[in-house]
Amino acid sequence: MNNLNRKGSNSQMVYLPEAGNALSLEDTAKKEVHQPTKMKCLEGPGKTCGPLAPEEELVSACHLEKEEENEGEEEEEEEEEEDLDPDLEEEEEEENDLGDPTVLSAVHNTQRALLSSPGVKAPGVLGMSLASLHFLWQTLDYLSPTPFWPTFPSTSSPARHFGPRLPSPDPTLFCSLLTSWPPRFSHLTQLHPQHQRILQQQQHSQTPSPPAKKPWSQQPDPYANLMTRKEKDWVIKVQMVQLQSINPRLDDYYYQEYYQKLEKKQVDEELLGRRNQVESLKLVTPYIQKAEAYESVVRIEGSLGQVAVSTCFSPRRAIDAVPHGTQEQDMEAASSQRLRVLYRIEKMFLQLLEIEEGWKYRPPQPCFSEQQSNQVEKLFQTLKTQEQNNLEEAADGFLQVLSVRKGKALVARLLPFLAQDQAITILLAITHHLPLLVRRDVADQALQMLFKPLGKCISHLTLHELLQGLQGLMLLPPGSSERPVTVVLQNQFGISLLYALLSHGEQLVSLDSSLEEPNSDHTAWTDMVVLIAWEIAQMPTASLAEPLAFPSNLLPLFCHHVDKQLVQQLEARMEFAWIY
Amino acid sequence: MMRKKTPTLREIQWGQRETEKLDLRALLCQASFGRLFYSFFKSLVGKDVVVELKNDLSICGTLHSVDQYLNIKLTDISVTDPEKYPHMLSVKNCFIRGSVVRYVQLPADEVDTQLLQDAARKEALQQKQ
Repeated sequence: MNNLNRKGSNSQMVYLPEAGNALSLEDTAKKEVHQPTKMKCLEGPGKTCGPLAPEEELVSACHLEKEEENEGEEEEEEEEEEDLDPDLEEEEEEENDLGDPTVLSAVHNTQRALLSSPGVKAPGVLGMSLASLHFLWQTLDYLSPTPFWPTFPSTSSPARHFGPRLPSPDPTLFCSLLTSWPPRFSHLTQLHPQHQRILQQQQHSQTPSPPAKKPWSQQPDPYANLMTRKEKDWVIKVQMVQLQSINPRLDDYYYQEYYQKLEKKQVDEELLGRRNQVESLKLVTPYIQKAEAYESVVRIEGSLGQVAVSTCFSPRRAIDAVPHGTQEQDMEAASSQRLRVLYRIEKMFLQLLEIEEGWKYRPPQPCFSEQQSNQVEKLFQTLKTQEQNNLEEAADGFLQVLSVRKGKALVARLLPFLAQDQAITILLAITHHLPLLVRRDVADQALQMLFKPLGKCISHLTLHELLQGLQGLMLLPPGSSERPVTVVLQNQFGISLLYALLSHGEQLVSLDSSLEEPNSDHTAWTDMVVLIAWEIAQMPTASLAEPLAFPSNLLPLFCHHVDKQLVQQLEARMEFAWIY
Repeated sequence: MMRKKTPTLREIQWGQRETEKLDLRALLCQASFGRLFYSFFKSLVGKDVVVELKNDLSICGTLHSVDQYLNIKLTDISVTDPEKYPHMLSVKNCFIRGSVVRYVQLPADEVDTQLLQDAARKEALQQKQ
């Protein structure tokens, strides 16, 4: 087959091998008389393409129609849902020099035909429209500046054409014509605008491929044009139909969210600078009818097990692979415990994702809706395992969650949504069990992700609560000469949290210092500070961990309460740790 | 489970049942996490990756496109390993069938692991429903 689309100023012909079976104009007209849109389309190209014999065009059109008849249904579904973006085309056409109203109207009618024929099983219509569009593209292609050059998986296109914009169209390419119709046949139609921008930037920054580097355009390719453009596009459409989704935000979750995040980041950066990137995030995605669900498992009364119904989604669902056996007790207990914790965490994650989604797509008011607060409350209760009667077990459950990296991520992401008192409960629980958490975190080193959200809620602590939290760390456990705080000081998260707490305490105390009478809390505070200072001084500098953040009012705090010698020791350690 | 249910040409010719039995490719594409990795690789279009095939060939190139079967098109390729494969020297672009890929090496900073986890959770939830 030799289909040649020569793109040039005046030759717009599509030759088909069967062109020998010429039909007269009247025959064709009679055939299409029941489909008014086609008539218009027929006229359109006939008028504009001066030097061409109208019959030949129609012949080709008819044959295309015949070919298309079988595939019409296939295309039909696709086309009516494609994002044709009629507004864009019409703008383009109005800019063109010819400005031929017939051409414009033909295109317009074709679009309408395509868009307004839902479920119509008239294969001829679309086939014809496609053919006529084909001619129109030829007409329009060199007329209108096409801002969109899609990527398409044709092997004859040279490299570097994966952006939406080509640096220069290659007129010798056979299929260059149809590249001017981006949304229909593009493999990567639905690129997120942020993604497009990134790709364009990439293209600009890279040097355009030197003209010498076109190894394929020189020699005639004996295997070129084995498939017509239409056939290739049909194959692509078959694929793309499967990918259209009702809910792209859900089906295409990763892609959409990723580029939304990038866009947000860029917008935040650009808020400082120019404001020219205010683009809408709306992507035109086609909508399809919801497919009816169907039974994949057929159960016949009285039969044992399942009937072997084989579908494309479950080829051999002949057995129910559900484990029923009992497990050996000993080894399994630990692993099953771990599995149970992980399972709990996953369930909570699903709730958290719902909350986050609700927060992201909330109506303009900045506060929580009632439903959202309920969700948060429910999740918090699950986390705290309040249904446990035993307080010990409840705390244990919470700690188990925190011992796993996933659990820490969950708590870190949940904290911003919690009410103040709930957040403080969590903070105090973490502070109280800090040595244990630190020991369990040796492998993961994942506690760091909790630092920022916790830091935010530290500022809401009262002095009393703070003291309660810290006192647990300073108690000498029976049978040990070491305070729990030493373990804490050796861990980066632990020491950072401790410093943050001390800094906050110092702020509170200095604000409170207007009160004259000595408070029991104040004395307790002073004792605490001295004790901690002493512990820090006791630690060899090498084992003191480097904090994530070093509050500025710490050293003055220590100077205030502690003698000079100790202060010197402290300075040596803290600055040393600080530098590195 | 929302899947493609529009009648294809084959279905019309051979009847729906037959086509379902034969339409294993649709199964492949939409079996567990079928959409997740397609979505994931879509976000990497335009980035440089190294694809290691099951025949031990490693190809480095820019990811041009991906489809729901995770077939990969690379542009501007080079064979990363020492040129045991001199016949690849002149090749600039390639299409790799998804089923022959063993590994794909990605740039780490282009991947949001937290988001990937969330997407996997959502997909698992969808599967259950």
